[in-house]
This record gives sequence, C-alpha cells and structure tokens, in this order.
Amino acid sequence: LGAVTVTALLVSHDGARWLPAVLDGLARQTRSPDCVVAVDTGSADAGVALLEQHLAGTSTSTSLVAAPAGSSYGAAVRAGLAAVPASGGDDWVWLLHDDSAPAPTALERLLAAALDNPSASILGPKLREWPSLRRLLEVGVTISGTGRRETGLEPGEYDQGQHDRVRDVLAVNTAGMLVRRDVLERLGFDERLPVFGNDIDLGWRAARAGLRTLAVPDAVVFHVEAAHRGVRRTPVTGSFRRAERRAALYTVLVNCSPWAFPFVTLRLLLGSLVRGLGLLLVRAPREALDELTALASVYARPDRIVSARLQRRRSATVPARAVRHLLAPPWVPYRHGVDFVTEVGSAVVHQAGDLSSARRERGLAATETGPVPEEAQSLPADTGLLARLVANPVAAVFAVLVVAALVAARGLVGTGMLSGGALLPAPGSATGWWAVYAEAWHQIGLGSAAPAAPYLLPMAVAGTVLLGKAWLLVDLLFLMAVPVAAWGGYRFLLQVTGSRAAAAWGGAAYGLLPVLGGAVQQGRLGTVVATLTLPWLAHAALFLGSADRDRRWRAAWRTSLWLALLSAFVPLAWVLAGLAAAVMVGTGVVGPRDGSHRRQWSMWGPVLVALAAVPVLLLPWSLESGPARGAAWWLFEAGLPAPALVDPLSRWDVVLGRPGAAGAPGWLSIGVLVAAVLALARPDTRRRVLGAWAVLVLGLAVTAVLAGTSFAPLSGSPAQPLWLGFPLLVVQASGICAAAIAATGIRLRLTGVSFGWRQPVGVVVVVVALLSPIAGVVWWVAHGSGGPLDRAAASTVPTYMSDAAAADPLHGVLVVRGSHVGRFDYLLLRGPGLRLGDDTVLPPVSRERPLTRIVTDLVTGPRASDIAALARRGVGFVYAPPPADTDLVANMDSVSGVSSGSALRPGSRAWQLEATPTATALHEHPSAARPWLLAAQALALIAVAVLAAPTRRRRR
Amino acid sequence: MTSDHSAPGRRAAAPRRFRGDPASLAATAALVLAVVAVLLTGSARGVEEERGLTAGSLVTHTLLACPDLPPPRRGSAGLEVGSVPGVELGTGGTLTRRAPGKEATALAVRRGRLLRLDDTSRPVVEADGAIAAGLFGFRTDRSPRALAVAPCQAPRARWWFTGAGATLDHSSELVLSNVDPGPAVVDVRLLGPHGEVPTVGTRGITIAPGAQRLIPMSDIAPQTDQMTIGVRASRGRVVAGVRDSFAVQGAVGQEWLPAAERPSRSARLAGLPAGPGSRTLLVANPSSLEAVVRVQVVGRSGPFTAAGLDELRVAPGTTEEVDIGAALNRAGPVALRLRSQVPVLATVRSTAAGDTSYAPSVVPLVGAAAAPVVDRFPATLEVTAGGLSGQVSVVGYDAEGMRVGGTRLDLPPRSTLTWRPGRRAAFLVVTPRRGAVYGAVSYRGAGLSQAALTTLPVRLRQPVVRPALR
Repeated sequence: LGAVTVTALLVSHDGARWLPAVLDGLARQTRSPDCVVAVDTGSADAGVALLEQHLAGTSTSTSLVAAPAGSSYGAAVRAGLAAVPASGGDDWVWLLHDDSAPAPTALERLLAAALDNPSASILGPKLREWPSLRRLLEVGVTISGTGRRETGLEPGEYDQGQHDRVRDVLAVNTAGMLVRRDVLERLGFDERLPVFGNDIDLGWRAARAGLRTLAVPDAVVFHVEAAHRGVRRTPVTGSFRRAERRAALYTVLVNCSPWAFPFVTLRLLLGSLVRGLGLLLVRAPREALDELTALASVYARPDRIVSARLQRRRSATVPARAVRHLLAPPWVPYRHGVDFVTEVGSAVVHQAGDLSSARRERGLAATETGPVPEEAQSLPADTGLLARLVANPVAAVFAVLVVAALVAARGLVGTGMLSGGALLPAPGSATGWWAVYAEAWHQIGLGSAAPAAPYLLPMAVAGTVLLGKAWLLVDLLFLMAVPVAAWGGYRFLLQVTGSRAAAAWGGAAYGLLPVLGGAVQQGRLGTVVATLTLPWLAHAALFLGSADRDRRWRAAWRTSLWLALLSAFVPLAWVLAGLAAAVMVGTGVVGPRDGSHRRQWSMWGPVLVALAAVPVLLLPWSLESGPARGAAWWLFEAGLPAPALVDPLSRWDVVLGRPGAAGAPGWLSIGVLVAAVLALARPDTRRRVLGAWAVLVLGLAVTAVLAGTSFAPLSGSPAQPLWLGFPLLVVQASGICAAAIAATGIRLRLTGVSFGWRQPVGVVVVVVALLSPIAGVVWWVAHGSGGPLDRAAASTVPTYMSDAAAADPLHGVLVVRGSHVGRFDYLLLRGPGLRLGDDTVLPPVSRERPLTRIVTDLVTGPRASDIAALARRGVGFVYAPPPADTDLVANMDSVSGVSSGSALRPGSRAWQLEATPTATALHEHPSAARPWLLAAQALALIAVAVLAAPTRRRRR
Repeated sequence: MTSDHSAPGRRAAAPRRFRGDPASLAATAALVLAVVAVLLTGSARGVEEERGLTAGSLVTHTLLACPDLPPPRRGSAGLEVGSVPGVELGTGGTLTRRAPGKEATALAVRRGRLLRLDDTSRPVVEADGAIAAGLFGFRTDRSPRALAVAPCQAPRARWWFTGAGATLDHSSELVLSNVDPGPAVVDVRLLGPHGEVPTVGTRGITIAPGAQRLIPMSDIAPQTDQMTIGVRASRGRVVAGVRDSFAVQGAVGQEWLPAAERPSRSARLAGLPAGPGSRTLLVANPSSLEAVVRVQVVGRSGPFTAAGLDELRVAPGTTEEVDIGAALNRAGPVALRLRSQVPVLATVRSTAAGDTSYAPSVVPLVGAAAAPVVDRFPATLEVTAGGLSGQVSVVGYDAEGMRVGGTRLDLPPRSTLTWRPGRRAAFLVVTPRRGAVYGAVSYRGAGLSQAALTTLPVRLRQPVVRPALR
C-alpha cells in the first residue's frame, strides 16, 4: 500500500452538528489518509472553528480551504484538490461529507478492494443511516428510466450482511467515495448539478468512459443525508425536492443513449405531469409544485441539455448499451407505482380503521360516563351477528327496519320498471344517464340544448358502480330508503347527542319520514334522496364549528360536496342552507368570540366557501339552466312536478310534515311534534335544542313563502303549486333532532329531581314520542307500497315504433293524448319513451311552437301539408294512447300522407307517415360552452374531493 | 348539563327562569315564530288547467258531403249551396264540387248567395279560403206528393239514425260514402223493437277512398220495423245518410232520416209540423241499461207533460215507439224535451198529406245557422228557448243574398215560437243573441219535411294543445 497516496477531502457547510463525529471517525482510521483537505463553503455556524481546531491537532498534512459561499459541490472539490498538488504516483481521493462519519476500517477496506480490483477507478462504501447506524442507505446506486434514484434496498432495511458482496455498480455516493485523482480531475463533477445527483452523473460518465465503479460493502460510512432529508437547506439546494427532481431529470436526459433521447424526453414530460397530478390527488400540493417547477426548469433550457450531451459524447469511449446492465430494469418504475397505490389504499383503510376505533372508544367513553346507564351495552367486540342483534337494541331497530322495508315492498316486486307519480322509469343502463348528462344537444322533441339536471351525474356514477343497472339504483333508493335514511339519522344524532337510545329513536323516526310524508309513494326522487343525504350533510357541517383550523376547512369542503349532492337533487336545499348559514352567523352560533378580522374569516370563511363552492360543483347546470328552464328552475326538485299529486297544504299538513297525497295519516306524527315542542322546556339542553329549532323555523318560513304561490316548471308552461317535500323534511328532521337532544339522559333527569308535575308529563311525552315511530312502522308495513308508484312496463308506445325511433332518431314518434273536452298533450319521442332524467332536458315551450301548431291542426282539421311538415321534422309515427280522441282518430284517418299502423292496446291508434322523415326543419344549436363547463366541473369536483380528504402526511 | 339538579325548589326557580333567562326567551320566540309561519302558510291554487275549446281564427277549409242517391221516381233532386252573408267573414276563396274520388270542378259562388244545382251526382263540396266560413248545403228531393230536405254534412266517425224500417210499408236504405283519401272501416248495428237485430256482414265494412256503399235494410234485417241504425267507423270517416220511404194512406212518403252523432241524456226534438196528422215518438236506447225517459212538451206558452208521456221505459238495445198524435194535435207548434238517466236517441215521425217527416234531435245554437226555403213548400221556423229567456235574430235572404225580411224573436223561458219567411226568401239565417235557443225549420205543402238548425262552422274552435312533461 505504500505507493498509494490518499487525500481525504471533506466538504463542509453548516455541519457543526455532525463534524465532531466525522472528524473523530477520520482520525480513528486504521489506514489514515496521507493528506486531509477540508473545504468550507461559507458556513455560518461553528463548523469552521471546529475544522481549524481539529486539523491543527493532527499529525498528517492538512489544509483548510475556504470556498466562496454558494459554491457547488464540484467547485468545492476542485478547490480542495487545487490546495494539494498531485504526488504523481497512485493518487486517490477520498471524498467525505460533513454529515458522513466513516467507520474506522472504511478507508482500509476501500483501498484493499482497490488493490484487489486494479481496474476499478471509483469505489464506494456501504452507507448506513446515522444516527440509527443499523439501517442500510446505499450499497451502490443506479437510476431508473423515470429519474428515480434506485438503491435496490427496501426502505429501512437493516444491515445483516445481506448485501455484502463487492460488485460493479453504476455509481456510488460521494459520501465516502474513493476515486482515482486523475479520473476525478478528468471527469469532474457537472457544474449544473450543484448538490444532488452529481454522484450518479459522475458514475454514469465514468462507465461510458470505460471505467469501473465498485460498491465495497466491507467499508462502512454512516450518513445523515442532511440535504436529502431537508435537514440542511442552503442557497445552493433551495427546495431539496425540487433540486433533487431537477437533478434526476437532467441526469437522465443528458446521459441516456441518443436513440432513446426523444422517447425519454416525452416520457419524463408526461410522467412528471402525471406525478404532479397524482401528488395533487393525495393532497401534496407542495410536492406537486416542486415536481412541476423542476420539470419546467429543466425543459426550459434545451440548450443546456444539448451542450451537456455533446460534452458527454466527447468523453464516452464505450457504447451506451455497454452500461445498460448497470441501469435499473425498465419494470422498476411500474413496481413502484403498484407499491404506491397499495400504500395509499392501505393508508385509507388504516385511517378508516383508526377512525372507527376512535369512534368506538369515544362511544364507550360516552356510555361509561354518560347519563344514561340503561343503554351502556358495552358488548365484547367479537360477538356474532345474531348475538349482536339479540343483545344490541340499535342493531335490532335497524334489522326491524330492513325487514319492514322488504315486507312493505311486496307490491312493488316483479317485472317492469319502478315508475309512476313523479318518477319516470329508469333508462336501460347507466350509460343512458351518462349520455344525457354529457350531451350538448338532446334528441328530444324538436331538439333541446337545455342542460341536464345535475343529479344525473351522481345517478350515473352510482348506476355504473351497480354494473350499469340503472333500475337497481332506483329500486334501492325507493325501497331501501327507510333503513338507509334511518342509519344516516342515527349516525348524525349519535354525534350530536352521544346517546345511542336517543339516536336510535331519532334515526327510526327520521328514516320513516319519506314513507310517512308520501315521498316514496309519489315517486319523489328528490325528496327521497334528500332524506338519505341530509344527515350526512348535517354531520359534515357540524365540524364547521370545530376548533381546529385544518379540520374546519376540511369540513367546509366536505360540506360543500354533500350540499352539492343534495342540491343536485333539490336545488332549494342550497337556498335553505344559505339562509340557515345567515341565521347561524347572524345569531352568533357560528362566529368569532373576539372581533378580529382574521378570526372572523377563519370562522366564517369555511361556511362561505362551503356555500359558494356548490354552484361551481353543479357547473353546467347552475349557469345554463336559468335561461333554458325559466326563473323558477331552482324551486323544482328531481323528478316530474306531478302537480296532480300536490294538494293545497293545510296547516296541519305543514305541522305534521305531509306535503301531498298518499302519505300516512297525520296523527302518526303527533308524537314527534309533541316531543319537539316540549324539548324547548328542558333548560339544560335548551341551547342546543334552539339550534335545531332555528332550522325548524327557517323550514317553516320557507314553506310559508313557497306554499302560497304557483310556479312554472318550464318557461311558458302553466304555473302550478310546488311540491314542498324538502322544506317539510327539514322541519320534521329539525323537530326530531330537537327531541333527541332533549331526550338524552331524560331518565336520569326525571328521577334526579323530587317528584312533581315534571315526571308524569315527561313520561307521557316519552311514551307518545316512542310510540310515534312504532306506529309509523306498523302503518307502513300494513299499508305497503300503495300510491302512484308502481312497477309497470316502461314503454307506452308500440315496440315497433320505439325500435324504429331508437334505430334512427329521425323516425320520431309523436304521442298525442287528451280529448277535445279537456286538452291535448303531445310529446315527440326519439327513443323508447321518456326516461328518468330526460324530463330535465325537455325543450322550452317556445321552441316547440311549430310542433304545437301542427298538432293543433291534427286535432282540428289536418291537411296533407301538416303531415309533410311533420315528416320534415323527423316524425315517422303518430300514436294516440287509449282512449284515443275520436275526432283525432277521424282526422288522422281522413288525411292523406299517413297510413294506419297497428296499435295493440285497446282504444289506442297509431299511424305511420308515408313520406320518409327528414331533418330539413330541424336545426341543432348545441351549447358550445357545455364541454368546457363539464371540464370545469370535473376539475372542481376533483379539487374539492382532494381538499375534503384527510391530509396525508408524507413520511420520509 | 346537570346544573339544574340542585335547584332548591320550584317556587324559587320557576319565576326566575321565566323572567330574564335569554334561552327561555329565545325558546318562546322560536315557538311563536313557528306558529306564525304555520299560520301564514298560504295554499296555492291547483294547477290552472287550460281546457275546453277556444274560439280561434275563421275557418278556411270546409268539406261537406250531401246524401248521394239518385232522385226518387217521378221526382227531382237538387243541391243548394251557400255561405252565410256577413262582411266580417270575408270574401274570396275557392269552392269546388266533385263526385267522391273524382276530379273537382269549380263553382262560382259569392258570399251570401245561394247556388241551386239541379244535379246531385257530384255531392262533395269543398271550400278553401274565406268562403269556407259559414258554408252550408242542403239536398232537396221533390216528387209530386213528397218533399225531403237533408243537410250536407262533414264526414265523421259516428252516425245514428232513428226511425228506419224494412217492411212492406216502410223501407230504408243506408248509404255510406268515403270522401277521404284513406280507406274507412265501418261497423253497422241495428236496434230493433226487441233488441239489437242480429245482422250478417255489417261489421268491418271496408269502404275504399272515393267509394260508396248502399245497404238496404231489407237486406240485413228483413221484416223489421222501428229500427235505429248505428254507424261507427273504426278507421277513417264516412258520410252516412238513410233514405226512408213510408207508406201513408196509399201514398209513399219520402224522407232522409235526421242524423245524430251520439246518444244523449237530454235530447231536444224540434221541427214537428203543426196541424193534423199522426205523430209517433221513437226512442232508442243503445246502452245496456234500461232507460226511463221523461218527455216534456214545450209549446207556445210553456212546457207541459202530455198524457201518457210522463214516463217511457226503453229496454236496453231496443227502439220503442209511442203514438203521440192525439196528445199534440191541438197543441200548436211544439218541441219535445226528453230526459233519461242513460243516453238515448229519439225522433218523431209525423205523417200528413201523404208524406212523412222526422223531427231531428238538435242542440242549442252557439252561432249562425241556415236553412233553405223551398218553393211551394211554405217553411215555418220553430225556435225554442231553454231554461232562460232567449232571443234570436232571423233574416231571410233571396238567392242573390239580398235581405228580404227578418225579425227578432224574444223567447220566454221554455217556450216555442214560430216565424214564417216571405215568399221571396231563398234561405234563412238564424243567429242566437241571448240564451240557449234551439230549433228547426219545417216544411209543409204537398209534402212534409224539416231541416234542423245547426251551428255552421265559422270560427275554428281549437282545443288547448301543449307539449307534455311526460
């Protein structure tokens, strides 16, 4: 070893924390370096003093070089080498960082390996984590096609000698790198890689120059990776993630083979964009920004890439394929992708588990310390389902509700589609909803550019999840509405009251609302879905008042998502929510205790944002439907208006929550009413009960305002009274909430005071309130599914017509029903008939005027020209469902240009136009903005979903 | 939560709580607000259903088809076509006549004039443009001792004729014409004195466009008298007419049976010739329930119930006949009002001077009606008011459209008045001014006949049509 000269070169920058250990390690080397050069790049800490002190105390030749602050690693190394003249023999340089402490034998083992492998020019030790000292960091390093630094080790892998084999690698870390001085001087570090990635670049260039790089696991260096972990931040590194990524991109781009260069350029560009998006999706916006700025900074200077590539071509002596075996295999990035997805999935599951266990603990704590000992049924967690049902009253309540739902649905099973009342049959598959939602021009009537109602999007998504079975979704919504709504109500009330008994009572009473009020029987999709959604919205909104700022903002985004879902079905909900927020803020329920502006914004901001995000989330519709559907568009909920089913509201209807016909007798809800009113009498819960009552009064006020006026569902159509299912639902739900809050711990409360009038009154109220949902269930099960909602064949026109119209929309079917005594209604179908959602894109009455004129002629005195005009508007058939008006039949039979078609249903008549239908009188005016608005909506949905998700804390 | 547990007693706690506690004040306020909101809840009126007919623009197209059979033996037949006078209705337009399915020839007629055509072989009259509003047409058949007047009517799907027969003394023949471009499919049913008459080949009769079908009653229901013929087109429209020959005192009376579109629970029969002769009330009940029919006679001075006519029972599917000659012979001009719980059809067959006439079932006028005045057969206008007093204006016009007399008749409630036009009049126009008024014109000379007053199509009465929501 005598002929070998080793210069240890230590580059330091603000490393006073680690320098003592590093210098100590250097001093205790079994083979001391012949010369020690320390280069300080403008440290602001005690590092320089430490170096001076240490170097002065050693026997070997030492020198301390002060490089200018902000020097790159390459420049610092160059400065250090310049301070020590080359000996001219077998000169080696041992590079050390100020955060890398060598084991005593490190240099000795490295030099031994160098002796054993004379062809090796660069050797690197095994890097272990400091301060754990056991975990492996690197045993040689390479790079993947996506620019990821590949060590081939599992994260946090312990060193048990499993990698202890001297082997050829692409590169080794500069911490502990032993390199021939001539090689280092010839190849040098790239100035464009100030800190990160210069080791891989050096190794890669060395490999292309025909030099060998070895990993020597016998030599051990402990490394903090201070810059990589972001512990040390210097002006040179800036954001370490950005710098790292920039270096990785640069390294791959300048070193890859020429034929792969275009592909690599494109791959890194797209890959970085996808990574950026992915990072956004997991709520890591800062990382995403780093990713994208790194990409931009590299791709903005193609000249640098080109010049660097030219430089490398000059130094290369072996072809690119000769080093390919040193690079990471091509499948490695994909394995990492799979790992990442698995990791996120397990994190989500883990988090859900955490949440539920936290909830369990909380529930346990509540039952243990709460005021209601009779419901403290702290069952062992591992009891079986049956045992749970028997022993757990809450589970029993829901089991009863599910069984009751199945029994009550007895009249609605069989073939055909659930429809009737306000409900149209579901389309053949969920793609029907997707199509209606995405289309900018609808082939219905004379054509319509009306925006599809926003509720088609959640319906389409849910229908797709159910394997496209749209009917199944509608069936589940209507037939399982009670147990599902009850579950939501239970969870909300459990959160509010902390009492299982009160929550179970309230949940059951709430779940029954859609059947007691008649929403299910009338086929009111909007009210039914609102019943299912409302508790979760309220649940999310509870956290708007949370003390934690981050939690408050997440609650805001989650509230906006729920409110958008609810408003998609019942737009009135948004208005009501706005009013409720105004009342809450106005009365000081939500708001700052002190008056500072900053606090004001931090309390009201989430509320305002939750409200303001809704129109954006419902985008194409919120902007386009006003002009298309008339001024009252947001008063009508999902489903047909079905004014025939809306009776004028009596005062008892309002009080007992009966918005229309087909509901249960009003007295069944008396118990809830009594309990809600008397809930105000309990002083200790009065404050929270008043919160529920504020919403209740608001619901009543909205009902009072809307019940007295008629509105036109479509501009130009006759005005009609509104279905007020939603505001009355809010009233009832608030009443139930108030009662549940006041019922919490009522037994203890009644037994705790001396006997008086309170006890009998309280007992009576509790009994009446308890009986109310029980009587409701009994009525529901006994009554079944009576009402306009029915299961019937979906198509009303003869099949051959709907088939022809489905095959070619120009063979439209003009359906004319009515009589001279009443009035005639017509509908131009271009498919099997109107399906759920089609009603939302019906053209405005004004657009249908030409068709109205033709139909008027058909029912009074048609001429051949009327038939020709029909044919020009893409009508192939005219159909009169039973009972067909005799005058219409006689008119159609007498006019030339039509021939009688077959109509199987007795009393119906059908005609076929003899001329081939054309589209000459049909003009399409699709909404040009719709695709853009849909894209904006998608972005808004993703953004809000990401913002609403729990923050993912990145571990490093 | 449990702060109140230690409340010392009700006496001390209760007043304090209700005096100043803001929470209880707020609770009271919430309750009051809720009650106020409930009390203020209005209730919107139900959806304002637009229904019924609205008077629209003037009619611009009218198609009339007159009964299409050759003139009677030793007689002549002619058509009279005109449109009611009135400047506001406009002039211009085209008028054509044709045989069904044949080429049309133009007719030169101006508004207000009456066109007399001697030939009945081209019975379809079609008007386009302004002339179509208020167009009317009649066919008159004359023989030395008989007169028959029949209106030309628009094709339709349902026709009822009461009073047909197929015996030696009484024969009827049904003529069905299809004047439309599409085929018509027709069912014919007969209601006889003993119920529905079984017939062969009267269901699903297909009549090609422009074709005509003559069905003598003797072919399908021989030796049956007092029949009611129901015609129903299950597809297309037809024009139906029934020519009736009835032997009276050795002579053969000729008449076109008046047509009704549908049975009615309240039938009004007008145009009964006054004076001597026999009169037979025929009531048909096409329903499946027995009809109890109350008959009221509306005379000059008010309604009365004739002896033996107070209650008439008509079995389901039958045609009942009652002789009412004795009851009405001295009553002067009358109309009959029939009421029944089930819809019925009715007519009165009057015979005098060797001819017959059938009183048509009429409905109150809602606009101008017209009737021809036939030479040598003095016409008598008989109008009857409904429950309220009525008023009609009657104007006679000559064939050139010049006004030749007229009057304004004020009708007390439930009374029948008559008026005779002057000799120069070629047609009458009767316009209701007030109240519900119905009537007919009867002709009596060397033969009997009658013409119902029917509202002419002047304005298009449009039903409400609108796009459906489902």
